Amino acid sequence: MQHNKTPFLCRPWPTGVGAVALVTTNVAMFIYARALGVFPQISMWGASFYTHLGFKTSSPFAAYPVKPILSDMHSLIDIGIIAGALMAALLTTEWKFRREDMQGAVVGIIGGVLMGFGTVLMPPCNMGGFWVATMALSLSGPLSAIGLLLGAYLGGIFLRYEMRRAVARVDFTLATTGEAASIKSAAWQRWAGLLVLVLIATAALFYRQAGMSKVGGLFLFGVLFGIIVQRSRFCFVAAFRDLTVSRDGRVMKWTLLSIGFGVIPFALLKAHGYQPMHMVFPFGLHNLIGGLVFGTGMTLAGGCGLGILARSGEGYMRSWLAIIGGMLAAGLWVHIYGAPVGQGWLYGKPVFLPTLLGWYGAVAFVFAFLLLFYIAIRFVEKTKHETGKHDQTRGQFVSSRSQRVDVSVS
Amino acid sequence: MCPYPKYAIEPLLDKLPGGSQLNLLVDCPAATGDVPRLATARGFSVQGIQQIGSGEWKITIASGHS
Repeated sequence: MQHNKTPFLCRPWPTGVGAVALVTTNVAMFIYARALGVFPQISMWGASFYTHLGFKTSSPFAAYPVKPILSDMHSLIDIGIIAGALMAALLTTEWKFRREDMQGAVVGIIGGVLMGFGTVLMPPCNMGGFWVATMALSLSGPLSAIGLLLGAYLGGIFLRYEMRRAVARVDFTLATTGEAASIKSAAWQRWAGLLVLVLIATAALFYRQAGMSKVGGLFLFGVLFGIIVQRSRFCFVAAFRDLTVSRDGRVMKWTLLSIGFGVIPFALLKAHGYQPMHMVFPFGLHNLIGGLVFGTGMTLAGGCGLGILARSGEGYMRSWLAIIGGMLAAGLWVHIYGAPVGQGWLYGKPVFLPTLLGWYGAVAFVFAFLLLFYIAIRFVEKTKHETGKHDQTRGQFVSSRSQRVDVSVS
Repeated sequence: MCPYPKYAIEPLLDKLPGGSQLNLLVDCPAATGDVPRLATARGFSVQGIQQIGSGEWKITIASGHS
Protein backbone atom coordinates (compact mmCIF):
# COMPACT_ATOMS: atom_id res chain seq x y z
CA MET A 1 0.00 0.00 0.00
CA GLN A 2 1.58 3.27 -1.11
CA HIS A 3 1.45 6.25 1.20
CA ASN A 4 0.27 9.35 -0.65
CA LYS A 5 3.01 11.92 -1.30
CA THR A 6 5.39 10.43 1.26
CA PRO A 7 9.05 11.00 0.34
CA PHE A 8 10.87 7.74 -0.39
CA LEU A 9 13.20 7.95 2.62
CA CYS A 10 10.27 8.55 4.96
CA ARG A 11 8.25 5.56 3.79
CA PRO A 12 7.98 2.63 6.17
CA TRP A 13 10.14 -0.41 5.42
CA PRO A 14 8.40 -3.63 4.40
CA THR A 15 8.04 -6.18 7.22
CA GLY A 16 10.45 -8.60 5.52
CA VAL A 17 13.18 -5.94 5.33
CA GLY A 18 12.69 -5.35 9.05
CA ALA A 19 12.96 -9.08 9.84
CA VAL A 20 16.15 -9.55 7.80
CA ALA A 21 17.71 -6.34 9.16
CA LEU A 22 16.95 -7.42 12.74
CA VAL A 23 18.52 -10.87 12.41
CA THR A 24 21.56 -9.51 10.51
CA THR A 25 22.16 -6.91 13.22
CA ASN A 26 21.71 -9.57 15.88
CA VAL A 27 24.32 -11.87 14.32
CA ALA A 28 26.72 -8.92 13.87
CA MET A 29 26.24 -7.89 17.51
CA PHE A 30 26.86 -11.48 18.67
CA ILE A 31 30.15 -11.46 16.75
CA TYR A 32 30.98 -8.06 18.26
CA ALA A 33 30.15 -8.94 21.88
CA ARG A 34 26.76 -10.44 22.64
CA ALA A 35 23.37 -11.19 21.09
CA LEU A 36 20.24 -9.18 21.71
CA GLY A 37 18.46 -9.35 25.04
CA VAL A 38 16.88 -6.35 26.69
CA PHE A 39 15.02 -7.23 29.90
CA PRO A 40 17.75 -8.50 32.28
CA GLN A 41 19.28 -5.01 32.23
CA ILE A 42 15.84 -3.43 32.86
CA SER A 43 15.58 -5.79 35.85
CA MET A 44 18.99 -4.56 36.99
CA TRP A 45 17.72 -0.95 36.81
CA GLY A 46 14.91 -1.97 39.20
CA ALA A 47 17.32 -3.58 41.68
CA SER A 48 19.56 -0.50 41.37
CA PHE A 49 16.58 1.78 42.08
CA TYR A 50 15.68 -0.14 45.25
CA THR A 51 19.32 -0.15 46.36
CA HIS A 52 19.49 3.63 45.94
CA LEU A 53 16.38 3.95 48.10
CA GLY A 54 18.24 2.11 50.85
CA PHE A 55 16.47 -1.23 50.30
CA LYS A 56 19.39 -3.43 49.41
CA THR A 57 18.63 -6.19 46.93
CA SER A 58 20.68 -7.79 44.19
CA SER A 59 20.05 -7.97 40.48
CA PRO A 60 17.86 -10.96 39.51
CA PHE A 61 20.25 -11.96 36.72
CA ALA A 62 23.66 -12.82 38.18
CA ALA A 63 25.45 -11.86 34.95
CA TYR A 64 23.99 -8.34 35.21
CA PRO A 65 25.14 -7.07 38.62
CA VAL A 66 23.95 -3.70 39.88
CA LYS A 67 26.26 -1.01 38.54
CA PRO A 68 26.02 2.57 37.23
CA ILE A 69 23.76 2.38 34.20
CA LEU A 70 25.87 4.61 31.95
CA SER A 71 28.91 2.37 32.32
CA ASP A 72 26.99 -0.89 31.88
CA MET A 73 27.34 -2.18 28.31
CA HIS A 74 24.05 -4.12 28.46
CA SER A 75 22.10 -1.08 29.61
CA LEU A 76 23.59 0.94 26.78
CA ILE A 77 21.96 -1.41 24.24
CA ASP A 78 18.56 -0.48 25.71
CA ILE A 79 19.37 3.23 25.86
CA GLY A 80 20.57 2.97 22.25
CA ILE A 81 17.24 1.40 21.20
CA ILE A 82 15.32 4.30 22.75
CA ALA A 83 17.67 6.86 21.15
CA GLY A 84 17.57 5.18 17.71
CA ALA A 85 13.77 5.01 17.63
CA LEU A 86 13.53 8.61 18.88
CA MET A 87 15.89 9.80 16.14
CA ALA A 88 14.15 7.83 13.37
CA ALA A 89 10.70 9.02 14.49
CA LEU A 90 11.85 12.66 14.60
CA LEU A 91 13.67 12.60 11.24
CA THR A 92 10.54 11.22 9.55
CA THR A 93 8.25 13.58 11.56
CA GLU A 94 6.45 10.64 13.14
CA TRP A 95 7.19 11.51 16.76
CA LYS A 96 4.21 12.26 18.94
CA PHE A 97 3.51 12.27 22.65
CA ARG A 98 0.86 9.56 22.82
CA ARG A 99 -0.94 10.28 26.05
CA GLU A 100 -2.94 7.61 27.89
CA ASP A 101 -6.05 8.08 29.97
CA MET A 102 -6.20 6.54 33.44
CA GLN A 103 -7.39 3.16 32.17
CA GLY A 104 -4.64 3.03 29.53
CA ALA A 105 -2.03 3.99 32.14
CA VAL A 106 -3.17 1.23 34.50
CA VAL A 107 -3.14 -1.35 31.69
CA GLY A 108 0.40 -0.22 30.76
CA ILE A 109 1.67 -0.56 34.34
CA ILE A 110 0.01 -3.97 34.79
CA GLY A 111 1.49 -5.06 31.44
CA GLY A 112 4.95 -3.95 32.59
CA VAL A 113 4.64 -5.69 35.97
CA LEU A 114 3.61 -8.95 34.24
CA MET A 115 6.58 -8.57 31.86
CA GLY A 116 8.86 -8.03 34.86
CA PHE A 117 7.72 -11.24 36.57
CA GLY A 118 7.55 -13.08 33.25
CA THR A 119 11.17 -12.23 32.46
CA VAL A 120 12.52 -13.74 35.67
CA LEU A 121 10.34 -16.85 35.32
CA MET A 122 10.87 -17.57 31.62
CA PRO A 123 13.83 -16.44 31.50
CA PRO A 124 14.50 -13.84 30.05
CA CYS A 125 12.23 -11.89 27.65
CA ASN A 126 10.64 -12.61 24.29
CA MET A 127 13.74 -11.45 22.39
CA GLY A 128 16.39 -13.27 24.44
CA GLY A 129 14.21 -16.15 25.62
CA PHE A 130 12.49 -17.05 22.37
CA TRP A 131 13.89 -15.33 19.29
CA VAL A 132 17.62 -15.38 20.15
CA ALA A 133 17.48 -18.50 22.36
CA THR A 134 16.02 -20.57 19.52
CA MET A 135 18.72 -19.48 17.07
CA ALA A 136 21.32 -19.95 19.82
CA LEU A 137 20.24 -23.63 20.04
CA SER A 138 18.69 -23.44 23.51
CA LEU A 139 15.83 -25.89 24.07
CA SER A 140 14.11 -23.29 26.27
CA GLY A 141 13.31 -21.16 23.19
CA PRO A 142 10.66 -23.38 21.57
CA LEU A 143 8.97 -24.14 24.92
CA SER A 144 8.81 -20.44 25.78
CA ALA A 145 7.07 -19.82 22.44
CA ILE A 146 4.10 -21.93 23.53
CA GLY A 147 3.72 -19.92 26.74
CA LEU A 148 4.07 -16.64 24.82
CA LEU A 149 1.35 -17.72 22.38
CA LEU A 150 -1.06 -18.48 25.22
CA GLY A 151 -0.24 -15.21 26.97
CA ALA A 152 -0.61 -13.13 23.80
CA TYR A 153 -4.02 -14.72 23.25
CA LEU A 154 -5.21 -13.76 26.74
CA GLY A 155 -3.89 -10.20 26.46
CA GLY A 156 -5.19 -9.80 22.91
CA ILE A 157 -8.70 -10.95 23.80
CA PHE A 158 -8.80 -8.31 26.54
CA LEU A 159 -7.61 -5.53 24.20
CA ARG A 160 -10.09 -6.54 21.51
CA TYR A 161 -12.94 -6.59 24.03
CA GLU A 162 -11.89 -3.13 25.28
CA MET A 163 -11.86 -1.73 21.72
CA ARG A 164 -15.08 -3.35 20.56
CA ARG A 165 -16.89 -1.92 23.58
CA ALA A 166 -15.65 1.56 22.64
CA VAL A 167 -16.57 1.12 18.96
CA ALA A 168 -20.09 -0.05 19.90
CA ARG A 169 -20.80 3.53 20.99
CA VAL A 170 -19.98 4.97 17.54
CA ASP A 171 -23.14 5.77 15.58
CA PHE A 172 -22.48 6.74 11.98
CA THR A 173 -26.08 7.86 11.38
CA LEU A 174 -25.55 10.69 13.88
CA ALA A 175 -22.17 11.70 12.49
CA THR A 176 -21.84 15.05 10.86
CA THR A 177 -19.92 15.35 7.66
CA GLY A 178 -16.48 16.17 8.97
CA GLU A 179 -14.06 18.70 7.63
CA ALA A 180 -10.88 17.26 6.19
CA ALA A 181 -8.18 17.40 8.83
CA SER A 182 -5.62 20.08 8.05
CA ILE A 183 -2.02 19.12 7.50
CA LYS A 184 0.22 20.44 10.23
CA SER A 185 3.85 21.11 9.49
CA ALA A 186 6.31 19.49 11.85
CA ALA A 187 9.59 20.79 10.44
CA TRP A 188 11.02 21.24 13.94
CA GLN A 189 11.09 17.47 14.30
CA ARG A 190 13.70 17.09 11.58
CA TRP A 191 15.99 19.56 13.37
CA ALA A 192 15.41 17.76 16.67
CA GLY A 193 16.20 14.46 14.90
CA LEU A 194 19.49 15.89 13.64
CA LEU A 195 20.29 17.04 17.17
CA VAL A 196 19.66 13.50 18.49
CA LEU A 197 21.96 12.17 15.74
CA VAL A 198 24.72 14.56 16.88
CA LEU A 199 24.18 13.54 20.51
CA ILE A 200 24.38 9.83 19.59
CA ALA A 201 27.64 10.38 17.70
CA THR A 202 29.04 12.47 20.57
CA ALA A 203 28.15 9.80 23.13
CA ALA A 204 29.80 7.08 20.99
CA LEU A 205 32.96 9.20 20.62
CA PHE A 206 32.97 9.93 24.35
CA TYR A 207 32.92 6.19 25.15
CA ARG A 208 35.76 5.61 22.69
CA GLN A 209 37.86 8.38 24.23
CA ALA A 210 37.13 7.04 27.71
CA GLY A 211 38.49 3.63 26.74
CA MET A 212 35.03 2.04 26.81
CA SER A 213 34.74 1.22 23.11
CA LYS A 214 32.64 -1.88 23.70
CA VAL A 215 30.06 0.09 25.68
CA GLY A 216 29.92 2.68 22.90
CA GLY A 217 29.78 -0.03 20.24
CA LEU A 218 26.84 -1.79 21.87
CA PHE A 219 25.12 1.58 22.24
CA LEU A 220 25.41 2.02 18.45
CA PHE A 221 24.04 -1.49 17.87
CA GLY A 222 21.11 -0.52 20.11
CA VAL A 223 20.59 2.61 17.99
CA LEU A 224 20.48 0.40 14.89
CA PHE A 225 17.86 -1.89 16.47
CA GLY A 226 15.80 1.17 17.43
CA ILE A 227 15.92 2.54 13.87
CA ILE A 228 14.94 -0.84 12.35
CA VAL A 229 11.98 -1.35 14.70
CA GLN A 230 10.75 2.23 14.21
CA ARG A 231 11.03 2.21 10.41
CA SER A 232 9.76 -1.33 9.74
CA ARG A 233 7.12 -1.29 12.52
CA PHE A 234 8.27 -4.87 13.11
CA CYS A 235 6.45 -6.06 16.21
CA PHE A 236 7.04 -9.38 17.93
CA VAL A 237 3.88 -8.91 19.98
CA ALA A 238 1.91 -8.63 16.74
CA ALA A 239 3.47 -11.92 15.64
CA PHE A 240 2.07 -13.78 18.66
CA ARG A 241 -1.13 -11.77 19.12
CA ASP A 242 -2.27 -11.72 15.49
CA LEU A 243 -1.75 -15.44 15.12
CA THR A 244 -3.81 -16.34 18.17
CA VAL A 245 -6.45 -13.59 18.23
CA SER A 246 -6.87 -12.68 14.52
CA ARG A 247 -5.65 -15.99 13.07
CA ASP A 248 -3.24 -13.99 10.91
CA GLY A 249 0.25 -15.48 10.70
CA ARG A 250 1.94 -12.89 8.46
CA VAL A 251 4.32 -11.40 11.07
CA MET A 252 4.98 -14.75 12.75
CA LYS A 253 6.07 -16.24 9.41
CA TRP A 254 8.65 -13.45 9.08
CA THR A 255 9.71 -14.06 12.68
CA LEU A 256 10.25 -17.77 11.99
CA LEU A 257 12.11 -16.99 8.77
CA SER A 258 14.40 -14.61 10.65
CA ILE A 259 15.19 -17.36 13.18
CA GLY A 260 15.95 -19.66 10.24
CA PHE A 261 18.40 -17.05 8.88
CA GLY A 262 20.05 -16.69 12.26
CA VAL A 263 20.47 -20.30 13.30
CA ILE A 264 23.18 -21.18 10.74
CA PRO A 265 25.63 -18.37 11.63
CA PHE A 266 24.97 -18.97 15.35
CA ALA A 267 25.64 -22.70 14.95
CA LEU A 268 28.81 -22.09 12.90
CA LEU A 269 30.20 -19.61 15.41
CA LYS A 270 29.35 -21.77 18.40
CA ALA A 271 30.69 -24.95 16.74
CA HIS A 272 34.02 -23.13 16.36
CA GLY A 273 34.09 -22.54 20.10
CA TYR A 274 32.83 -18.95 20.08
CA GLN A 275 30.74 -18.39 23.26
CA PRO A 276 29.00 -21.80 22.96
CA MET A 277 26.74 -21.34 25.98
CA HIS A 278 25.75 -17.76 25.12
CA MET A 279 21.95 -17.24 25.38
CA VAL A 280 21.33 -20.83 26.52
CA PHE A 281 18.79 -20.69 29.34
CA PRO A 282 17.32 -23.07 31.94
CA PHE A 283 14.75 -25.45 30.50
CA GLY A 284 11.62 -26.45 32.38
CA LEU A 285 7.96 -25.81 33.09
CA HIS A 286 8.95 -22.25 34.08
CA ASN A 287 9.54 -21.50 30.36
CA LEU A 288 5.86 -22.17 29.77
CA ILE A 289 4.58 -20.29 32.84
CA GLY A 290 7.00 -17.38 32.35
CA GLY A 291 6.07 -17.23 28.66
CA LEU A 292 2.39 -17.07 29.58
CA VAL A 293 2.95 -14.26 32.10
CA PHE A 294 5.34 -12.34 29.82
CA GLY A 295 3.11 -12.88 26.77
CA THR A 296 0.06 -11.46 28.56
CA GLY A 297 2.09 -8.52 29.84
CA MET A 298 3.71 -7.62 26.52
CA THR A 299 0.33 -7.63 24.78
CA LEU A 300 -1.19 -5.29 27.38
CA ALA A 301 1.91 -3.08 27.27
CA GLY A 302 1.80 -2.90 23.46
CA GLY A 303 5.32 -4.17 22.87
CA CYS A 304 7.83 -6.83 23.92
CA GLY A 305 11.03 -5.70 25.64
CA LEU A 306 12.46 -4.38 22.36
CA GLY A 307 9.07 -2.92 21.39
CA ILE A 308 8.45 -0.92 24.57
CA LEU A 309 11.97 0.52 24.41
CA ALA A 310 11.52 1.60 20.77
CA ARG A 311 7.99 2.91 21.38
CA SER A 312 9.08 4.85 24.43
CA GLY A 313 11.44 6.66 22.04
CA GLU A 314 8.50 7.27 19.70
CA GLY A 315 6.57 8.98 22.51
CA TYR A 316 4.22 6.28 23.80
CA MET A 317 3.36 7.00 27.42
CA ARG A 318 2.14 3.41 27.86
CA SER A 319 5.63 2.12 27.01
CA TRP A 320 7.26 4.41 29.57
CA LEU A 321 4.89 3.08 32.23
CA ALA A 322 5.53 -0.51 31.13
CA ILE A 323 9.31 -0.04 31.48
CA ILE A 324 8.83 1.40 34.98
CA GLY A 325 6.40 -1.41 35.94
CA GLY A 326 8.78 -4.03 34.51
CA MET A 327 11.88 -2.77 36.30
CA LEU A 328 10.10 -2.36 39.65
CA ALA A 329 8.59 -5.88 39.49
CA ALA A 330 11.68 -7.75 38.23
CA GLY A 331 13.97 -5.78 40.56
CA LEU A 332 12.20 -7.36 43.54
CA TRP A 333 12.73 -10.95 42.39
CA VAL A 334 15.71 -11.89 44.56
CA HIS A 335 13.89 -10.44 47.56
CA ILE A 336 10.75 -12.48 46.77
CA TYR A 337 12.29 -15.76 45.61
CA GLY A 338 15.47 -15.68 47.68
CA ALA A 339 17.89 -16.51 44.84
CA PRO A 340 18.83 -15.18 41.42
CA VAL A 341 17.30 -16.44 38.18
CA GLY A 342 18.46 -19.95 37.24
CA GLN A 343 19.15 -21.09 40.82
CA GLY A 344 16.97 -23.02 43.25
CA TRP A 345 13.95 -25.29 42.98
CA LEU A 346 12.07 -23.32 40.34
CA TYR A 347 14.48 -23.58 37.45
CA GLY A 348 15.61 -26.51 35.33
CA LYS A 349 19.10 -26.88 33.91
CA PRO A 350 20.11 -25.12 30.69
CA VAL A 351 19.76 -27.53 27.76
CA PHE A 352 22.11 -26.82 24.87
CA LEU A 353 20.75 -28.77 21.90
CA PRO A 354 24.18 -29.77 20.41
CA THR A 355 25.17 -31.60 23.62
CA LEU A 356 21.93 -33.58 23.29
CA LEU A 357 21.72 -34.12 19.54
CA GLY A 358 25.09 -33.13 18.07
CA TRP A 359 25.56 -30.03 15.87
CA TYR A 360 23.70 -31.32 12.82
CA GLY A 361 20.95 -32.77 14.97
CA ALA A 362 20.55 -29.49 16.85
CA VAL A 363 20.24 -27.43 13.65
CA ALA A 364 17.83 -30.02 12.21
CA PHE A 365 15.80 -29.83 15.43
CA VAL A 366 15.42 -26.04 15.15
CA PHE A 367 14.42 -26.25 11.48
CA ALA A 368 11.92 -29.03 12.30
CA PHE A 369 10.47 -26.78 15.01
CA LEU A 370 10.22 -23.87 12.53
CA LEU A 371 8.58 -26.12 9.94
CA LEU A 372 6.05 -27.51 12.43
CA PHE A 373 5.28 -24.00 13.62
CA TYR A 374 4.80 -22.91 9.98
CA ILE A 375 2.42 -25.81 9.28
CA ALA A 376 0.46 -24.89 12.43
CA ILE A 377 0.21 -21.26 11.19
CA ARG A 378 -1.11 -22.42 7.81
CA PHE A 379 -3.69 -24.55 9.59
CA VAL A 380 -4.80 -21.63 11.81
CA GLU A 381 -5.02 -19.30 8.78
CA LYS A 382 -7.14 -21.84 6.93
CA THR A 383 -9.70 -21.91 9.74
CA LYS A 384 -9.95 -18.11 9.46
CA HIS A 385 -10.76 -18.22 5.75
CA GLU A 386 -13.56 -20.68 6.40
CA THR A 387 -15.25 -18.52 9.06
CA GLY A 388 -14.36 -15.23 7.30
CA LYS A 389 -17.06 -15.72 4.64
CA HIS A 390 -19.68 -15.66 7.37
CA ASP A 391 -18.22 -12.47 8.89
CA GLN A 392 -18.39 -10.64 5.55
CA THR A 393 -22.05 -11.44 4.96
CA ARG A 394 -22.88 -10.14 8.40
CA GLY A 395 -20.90 -6.97 7.69
CA GLN A 396 -22.88 -5.90 4.63
CA PHE A 397 -25.00 -2.93 5.50
CA VAL A 398 -26.65 -1.18 2.60
CA SER A 399 -27.81 2.39 2.88
CA SER A 400 -28.83 5.00 0.33
CA ARG A 401 -27.31 7.79 2.41
CA SER A 402 -24.00 9.10 1.25
CA GLN A 403 -21.72 10.70 3.78
CA ARG A 404 -18.17 11.08 4.93
CA VAL A 405 -17.32 10.33 8.53
CA ASP A 406 -14.18 11.09 10.50
CA VAL A 407 -13.28 8.68 13.27
CA SER A 408 -10.24 9.03 15.45
CA VAL A 409 -8.64 5.97 17.00
CA SER A 410 -5.55 6.20 19.15
CA MET B 1 -1.80 2.50 20.43
CA CYS B 2 -1.31 -0.86 18.80
CA PRO B 3 -3.47 -2.86 18.16
CA TYR B 4 -6.52 -0.66 18.83
CA PRO B 5 -6.95 0.72 15.26
CA LYS B 6 -6.68 -2.82 13.94
CA TYR B 7 -9.34 -4.09 16.35
CA ALA B 8 -11.53 -1.02 15.77
CA ILE B 9 -11.63 -1.12 11.99
CA GLU B 10 -13.54 -4.38 11.59
CA PRO B 11 -16.59 -3.43 13.72
CA LEU B 12 -16.43 0.09 12.26
CA LEU B 13 -16.62 -1.26 8.71
CA ASP B 14 -19.51 -3.50 9.77
CA LYS B 15 -21.42 -0.38 10.80
CA LEU B 16 -20.40 1.89 7.93
CA PRO B 17 -23.38 2.81 5.74
CA GLY B 18 -23.03 1.95 2.05
CA GLY B 19 -21.76 4.68 -0.26
CA SER B 20 -19.87 6.31 2.58
CA GLN B 21 -16.34 7.48 2.95
CA LEU B 22 -14.62 6.92 6.28
CA ASN B 23 -11.64 9.01 7.31
CA LEU B 24 -9.94 7.06 10.07
CA LEU B 25 -7.49 9.22 12.01
CA VAL B 26 -4.74 7.19 13.68
CA ASP B 27 -1.52 7.99 15.53
CA CYS B 28 -0.05 4.49 15.47
CA PRO B 29 2.52 3.98 12.67
CA ALA B 30 1.73 0.26 12.35
CA ALA B 31 -1.96 1.04 11.71
CA THR B 32 -1.04 2.61 8.35
CA GLY B 33 -0.20 -0.91 7.19
CA ASP B 34 -2.68 -3.02 9.17
CA VAL B 35 -5.86 -1.01 8.63
CA PRO B 36 -5.65 -0.74 4.81
CA ARG B 37 -4.77 -4.44 4.60
CA LEU B 38 -7.84 -5.43 6.65
CA ALA B 39 -10.17 -3.02 4.82
CA THR B 40 -9.03 -4.26 1.41
CA ALA B 41 -9.46 -7.89 2.49
CA ARG B 42 -13.07 -7.08 3.41
CA GLY B 43 -13.78 -5.63 -0.01
CA PHE B 44 -13.57 -1.94 0.85
CA SER B 45 -11.51 0.43 -1.25
CA VAL B 46 -8.66 2.29 0.44
CA GLN B 47 -8.35 5.64 -1.28
CA GLY B 48 -5.36 7.03 0.51
CA ILE B 49 -3.06 7.16 3.50
CA GLN B 50 -1.98 10.68 4.25
CA GLN B 51 0.25 11.95 7.02
CA ILE B 52 -1.63 14.91 8.46
CA GLY B 53 0.69 15.84 11.29
CA SER B 54 3.56 14.57 13.36
CA GLY B 55 2.81 10.93 14.05
CA GLU B 56 -0.77 11.23 12.76
CA TRP B 57 -2.30 9.77 9.63
CA LYS B 58 -5.63 9.87 7.83
CA ILE B 59 -6.72 6.64 6.16
CA THR B 60 -9.56 7.12 3.69
CA ILE B 61 -11.78 4.09 3.14
CA ALA B 62 -14.85 3.96 0.89
CA SER B 63 -17.65 1.41 1.06
CA GLY B 64 -18.71 0.04 -2.28
CA HIS B 65 -22.51 0.03 -2.02
CA SER B 66 -24.67 3.07 -2.63
